Amino acid sequence: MTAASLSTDEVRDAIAALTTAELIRLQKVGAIYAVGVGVEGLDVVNEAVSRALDGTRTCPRDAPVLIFLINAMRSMASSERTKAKEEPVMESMSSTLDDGPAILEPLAEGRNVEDLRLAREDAEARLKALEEIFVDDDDAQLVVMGDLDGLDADEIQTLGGWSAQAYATIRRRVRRKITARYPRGWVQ
Amino acid sequence: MTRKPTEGPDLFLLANALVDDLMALSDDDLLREVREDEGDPERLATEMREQLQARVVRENKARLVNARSALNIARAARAGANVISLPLTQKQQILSKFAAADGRLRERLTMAARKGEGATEREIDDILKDLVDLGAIDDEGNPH
Repeated sequence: MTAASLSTDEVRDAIAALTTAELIRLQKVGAIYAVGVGVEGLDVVNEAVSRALDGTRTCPRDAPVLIFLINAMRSMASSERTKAKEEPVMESMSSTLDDGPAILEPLAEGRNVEDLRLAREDAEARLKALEEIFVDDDDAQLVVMGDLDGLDADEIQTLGGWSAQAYATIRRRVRRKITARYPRGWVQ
Repeated sequence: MTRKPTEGPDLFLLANALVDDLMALSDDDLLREVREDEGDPERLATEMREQLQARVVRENKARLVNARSALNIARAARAGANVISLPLTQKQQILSKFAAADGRLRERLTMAARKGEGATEREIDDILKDLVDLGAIDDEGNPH
């Protein structure tokens, strides 16, 4: 542990000193990333805290612990997303006959095809559930689609032909509806 | 072996946008939203604080268990370290004293001798470590 990072005791103290608003932000961010990953919000928060306390991740001294924990959750969600988007690459391509069909051999290690299929089905179910929240709200649907496709705020705003204020209102409505529907993450 | 990512709607990007919007809220606006949507912000914060404290206690316990385990391993590694660093002749003398009064130890040394090798220094060290572990001698080779 370097002087540039908080010690375990300092991280513990900083967590204990989180304000009401910071605790609520932490809970809500955990729930949001949890919906993306398909787990409960508290699991995401707990994992971030554990990584901070066991030294897996070190908190820079100049970073507020709330931001550090949120970045840890973001990183975990990103990592899960990368795994979910992986698809098995064939081990080798060979042919028993010179002009016969190629034989594709699946990977022997890592997630198998069945695991990946189930993970994708789960992600699709979450996606569908989120889209259904806005079935009667065309503006919100457009914002959600833009986010899912990685468009930035300006692009989405231009696409919808909204003013900055109108876009902010729709954006806020999207977040509040999703967090109201899944206040504790993806709880089945 | 490489894997390639697939493209498609990305829930992580949506989550990022939602988080950015949440973090752009002022504390007052956030607390107002909570009052409108969920009720008392203090209740929600207290629940979260308790969950975090429980996690901190759990992590602390796990850290202590790991530390104790590491300490035990270090102690075990140190046990007998002094006695095996003594000169070979001195170690042989310690064993000889014990062999005179200990039939099983005498037998163990005799078996090593029958192999035509006598007791190697490694064999002697192992026996001395056993004696330390059993409490028969201290770390300096003195009988208890």
